[in-house]
Parts: sequence; structure tokens; C-alpha cells
Amino acid sequence: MLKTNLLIEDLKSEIARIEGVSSRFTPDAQDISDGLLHFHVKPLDDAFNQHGLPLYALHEITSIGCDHGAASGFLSALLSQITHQKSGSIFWLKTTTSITEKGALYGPGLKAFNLNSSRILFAETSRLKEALWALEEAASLDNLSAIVADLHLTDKTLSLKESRRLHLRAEANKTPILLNLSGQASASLQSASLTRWHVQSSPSPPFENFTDGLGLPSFQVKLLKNRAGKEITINLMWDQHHGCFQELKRQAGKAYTKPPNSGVLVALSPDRPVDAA
Amino acid sequence: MRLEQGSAWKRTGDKQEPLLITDQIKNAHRIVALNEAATALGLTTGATLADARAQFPKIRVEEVDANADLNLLDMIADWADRYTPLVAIDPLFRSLNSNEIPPAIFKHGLFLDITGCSHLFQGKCEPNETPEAALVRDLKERLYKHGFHVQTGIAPNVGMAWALSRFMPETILESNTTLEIFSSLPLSALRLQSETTQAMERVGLKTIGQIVKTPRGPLASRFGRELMRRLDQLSGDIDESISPRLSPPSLIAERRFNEPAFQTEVIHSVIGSLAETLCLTLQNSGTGARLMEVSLFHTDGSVTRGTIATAHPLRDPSRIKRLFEDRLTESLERFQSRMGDAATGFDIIRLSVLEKDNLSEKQTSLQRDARQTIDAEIAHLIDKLSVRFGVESIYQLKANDAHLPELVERKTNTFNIKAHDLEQVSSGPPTRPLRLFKVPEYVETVAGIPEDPPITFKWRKGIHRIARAEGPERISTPWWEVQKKDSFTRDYYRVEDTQGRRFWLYRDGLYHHETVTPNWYLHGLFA
Repeated sequence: MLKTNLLIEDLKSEIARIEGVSSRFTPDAQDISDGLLHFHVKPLDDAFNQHGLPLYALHEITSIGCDHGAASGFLSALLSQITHQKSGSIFWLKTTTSITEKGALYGPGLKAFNLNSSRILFAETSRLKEALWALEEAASLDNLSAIVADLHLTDKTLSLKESRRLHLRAEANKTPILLNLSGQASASLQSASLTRWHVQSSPSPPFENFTDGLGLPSFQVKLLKNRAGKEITINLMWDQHHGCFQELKRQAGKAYTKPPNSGVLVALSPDRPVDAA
Repeated sequence: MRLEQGSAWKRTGDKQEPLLITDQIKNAHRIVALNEAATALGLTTGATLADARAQFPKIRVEEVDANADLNLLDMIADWADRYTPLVAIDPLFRSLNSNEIPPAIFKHGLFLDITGCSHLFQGKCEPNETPEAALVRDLKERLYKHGFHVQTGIAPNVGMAWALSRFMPETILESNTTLEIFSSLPLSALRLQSETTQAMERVGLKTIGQIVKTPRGPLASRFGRELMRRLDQLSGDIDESISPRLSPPSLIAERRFNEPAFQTEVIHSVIGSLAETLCLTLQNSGTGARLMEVSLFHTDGSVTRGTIATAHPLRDPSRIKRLFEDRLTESLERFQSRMGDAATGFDIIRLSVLEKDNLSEKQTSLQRDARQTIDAEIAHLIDKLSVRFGVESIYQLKANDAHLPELVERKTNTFNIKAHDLEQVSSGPPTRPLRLFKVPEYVETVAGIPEDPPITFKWRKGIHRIARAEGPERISTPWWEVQKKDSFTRDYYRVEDTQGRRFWLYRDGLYHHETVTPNWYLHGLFA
């Protein structure tokens, strides 16, 4: 039976050769052809030599203190853009400490990032070593749309060698690997990742004219390390309706404006504390 | 007690010290069990400990340890799996009234359903011996080596087998036996409560033969239906089934060794070849395994088990072998370190399919079917991870029929991964946090009463001043659970602090209606 399978595989690649398409089947025409993620935010895209984030690599997203929500938000927004372009399921790994420290991922909240939890396969491990093993196992598949790891690093951290292995697998199997890192040891991490993003919360611009309420997810993103371009700090807002990032620009009056296409210039609400924003 | 003397105590032939096992029954310590040496001194069960001590002041006495007894019985039942997958512990023992002395005959019994199993012993028959007799001989020999003396009985139904093993041990009955041979047995062979037996003995009914001859109507009205049920169970007029300890597998393949096997490689290769046998059968029935178990029967009587559950029906011997390799590595190492140099090993390796599912043959198409390979590869990843970390650590989230935030979704192991699903959302800001704490974290707050969001709050040593807040969104426990303690109405607020961090806070309880000073909790983090 094995023999027939091999034979059929051979025939398939033969057909592919005759038809002149690459033997790797691409199920979705929308697949990222060049492996780049375009943010459609000019300064951010320009920070990369290729005007887009090279996806098939290891990326780190770090946060400290109480900003884990913002980091997860930025990560989910990235994922949302990736999954729109690349079909396949998402493998999401968490360590037990990351759940107690940062809380568990919440399905209803993911919906705001156009992500459906039915597409995500979760795995939970208690130790970092196990997590790395599971990550490598997942990274050896070539049809996942992305791999995410929620790690809280306190004393143990992943070594340069381990991160390099992950990076190489990501490149070889064309799967983005996103590490969501927090904890003390994450700051001093030496890794082979392509980019490192440090995410902080940032006050959200009021939604439409409702100045008292909370706005759309917003974050200050510092691209601390970029092997494919230069570093940059930028304020972003996630526009879930259009499924894209928008840049937030600071105005003199400490308020944010929306980009010109959304129109409305928002004034500070009178009852807002002075030290807001 | 058994541990102290080792498994070979029966064989040593040394002189035994008299030993009594006692239990507190009817406000007195009474003897419930005693060894041969103690019997030789003239002691009997039921006598009080005080009497025994008066006669033999130096006799050794132990309290009964019911749990240890049951564990031991469990172990023997495990061991007995080698004869048949249908092994049950006699339920009678557990149902007995603990306030009386259980007659010895009621104690610890095992039922083995050997229907269709005995022919396996055809090869071990001595001249003029039936396969059943060979099986019994084998069982008794092996148990004797482990230091147990057992009484057996083989009969076409449970009732007869029970009576035989207690009153006519080592008898084997053919399927066409009638009640006649039981007629001289006492009433206790009917598995009745002792009150019933005593009541009947008082009116002169002492043997089963007497009851059979008596009209049923008056008997039933006087001594209860239980008597008739037991009688019918003995005659086989009522079917009685045993409830096996382990759910019987749907398929079994096993290999027995003359010399115990202990090398890890041998065990793995045997599992591989057993898997091949099973997969052939699975293929013929168009099914695949969802839950498999390997049982390693050790020569010392213990059984090592390992199960694997698969995300997808599985019918590939090499993958089954690899999954079990991962699964068993640890337990085999533990086992070998326990055994040390005494290179004893396993004499039976059994692979069984506990659950199976349809797995139809698919025609391989000449066009590449991307969907198909995705499923298989991810299923394999799930299997690998769940073998190493446990089934419960690999999951998907599924919507639940509840409205409390922490119960809205639950983990599920029934995987249904949709690789193309996208979510359509409204344009407004998210109303639910991205991260939710399993246990809401207590925060100290300064808040207006009765219904205002906090002004500042302290969470994890940091003080947060609130810039904006939205709420309350009132979420209360379902009315049918309100009676429970600590189930207050929660008022949720979405707040943003001056640094722009967004949190989900709630006040637990309404002022004065449910509690005097409600606590505040942080339940989630927004992006």
C-alpha cells in the first residue's frame, strides 16, 4: 500500500511538472505570494527594506507590567491579517504560568479581531522545555497558518540556539511563529528572531462621538529589533471593521485624530482628567 | 500485612505465628479472620477479642483494613484479566450490612466470564482433562505462587458458579445441569441476607432442595421477592450479568511468552506486530481506533497499562507503535528502576482497541487534495502532543450554553478545526476582554456608592487612576442557582486608566440588597 502511495505522489509531481506549476499545492489564491505582510501604514511599511514584514520567521512580541492586554491585542491583530491571507489553522501554545499571569485567551474577545476560535488549536504545557518541544513539533508542519506561543519567562529563558532552531523551521516550512513574551527574563533575551516588538497600552481615541466610552484597541508599538529594516516607534489603532491598522497621530491638545479618511476630529471631553492621554 | 511477608509466604513452610484480624462489630472487637495457626488453637471467627486474649494473651492482633483488602482484590482482578476481559468484583460484598459479622462465604469474590476463552487452554490440557479444568488448574497454580488460596467453580450461570465456589469448590458443571445437585446445599448458597436465611431456618427450611419443593406463592409473600429472584438466578430462569470492572474492548490482540520479555525494544516491536494484526481487522470492518490500550502483564502479578486516545480514527500500525513508544517510555523506565537487577519481565503483552470509529477507505485522487492532508497532519500533531502532555492539555474552545463570562466557552477534545473560518464583527469597540482570568483577581478600589465605577484601583501592587469607564453591564447568576452562597449579581465596567490600559472590572454584589460592602474584582484585560 505504501508503494502505491509513493507511485501516486510521483505521478502527482509529474503532472505538476508538465502543467508548469510548482509542486507545492497552494489551496488559496489569496496566499501571501511574497511572504510579506503589508500593514498599509506608510511609516511602518517603510521601516522594512521590502516594504512589508517578512512573515516566515520568528517574531517576538514583548510586554511588561499591566500591558499584556495590549500585547495580546497587537498579536491578535497581526494574526487576523495573516489568517486573512493565509489559510490553515492556528496553533496556540500556552504555558501554565502565562495563564495565571496574563489570563487565558478569551474566545468572545478574539472575535473583535476577526478571529474565530474554531480555527485555533490550543495546547497547554507546564514547563518551558515542553513548550519548546511542542513548538518544534508544530513548526515541522507546513500547513498551519501561524504558530503562537504565550510564554511567561521568569528565570529560565530560551537560548539563542533554541530560538534559532525555531526561526529556521519557520523559514523552511513557511509558517510565521509569534512569541508573546512577558516576565523578567524576556527583557534580556538573546534570540535569533527577525523582529522584536515591545507593545504598550495607549489611550484609545473615542469611538465616533461617544467621548465617555472606550474606543477601539490602541497600542504604542516599539519595533526594538528589526533584522529586515530599521527600528521605529508608532502608535497604532486596530480598526476591526476594516480589518486593518491605522496610525494614531498625537495632536498638540493631547488628543488623537483619526486618519483623514475617517474624518472626524475629536475634541477632549470636558470631564476628562487633566493627566489623561 | 501481605507486604510484610512477601508473596511467597505460603510456600515457605515455616511455622506460622498465630494471627487474628479484628474489627469493631456490635460494640466489641471481634475476630473476623484468622490464619491456620490460629485456627489450630481453637479460635473461631465471631468470638470477641477479649475472649481470645484471655486464652492466649500473647497472640498477635491486627485491625481490619477494608481498603487494603479491596485494593488487594482489585490487584487480583487486574491480574485475572489474563484469562478474560470480563472480570467483575462480586458486588455482594460491598452491599453487605457493615454492622454484622459477614459470614466468611460472603467475602471477596471475583467473577470471570470465560465464555469462549477456555478453548485457548486446549493445548495445555493433560490427558482426560477439559479445557476448563486446564484453565482452573493454571489459575490456581499461578495464584498459589503469589500466596493465595482460591476456591473456584465453573457453571453456566453466575448464581451456580457462586454457590459452587463456596460449597462444592473445584466443580465444573455442564450447561444442561438442573438444580438437583444443589438440593443438599444450605440456604446461604442462595446469596441472601442473613436475616432471611435465619428466618427460614427457624421454620425448618434448611436446604435449597426443600425450597424448590415448597410452593412459590407463600414463600414469596413470607420471605420476600429477593428469595425468589435468587432462586431463579440459580436455576438460570432469570438472566444475570456481571458488570465488568473495565469496559470490554472491542478488539484484542495479545502475545504470550514462555520466557518473560523485558527489553524495551522487544516490547515495542511486539506492540508493532500486534498493531498490524489489529489494523487488518479494523480495515476489514472499515473502522479505525479512537482509544487504544496496551496492558503489560508482569510476572509478579501487577499489570502496567497505557492508553492512547487519537483525534482521528487511526489504522496505521507504524503510527500506533510510535504513539505507544512515546507513551510507555516513562512507565517502562520507572518499572525497570523499580525492578533493579532482578531481570523479570512481562509474560503477556496485550493490545486492545477500546473505542473505534468509522474510517472509510478513500480513493486516492490524482489531484492533490489539500484539505485532506491538513486534517491528517494536524490529527497526528494532536495525537503526539496528547500522548506526551495528556489529552486534557490539547483542546479547542467551544461555545457553551451559559451567560456567565467564565462559562461562556468550554474546552473540548472533539476537534473540528475550520481552516478558513473568519469572523464578521461589528464596528464598535470590543465589549469582551481578550484575556480572562480563570479566578477573578481581588482589587482595592476607591469608588462612589452605590452604583459608580471606581476612581482608582490597586491591582498587583500598581495603582491605576481611571480616565474613562463604561458600564455597568449587569450579569447575574441564573435564578436557579441564586440560592447558592457567594453568587451575587455582578456589575461589570469597562475602564481605561490614565496610561491607556483597558480593564474589565466588576463589583460583586449590590449594595444593601445582597451585601453590605461589595468587593471589586478584575476579571479581564482588553487590548
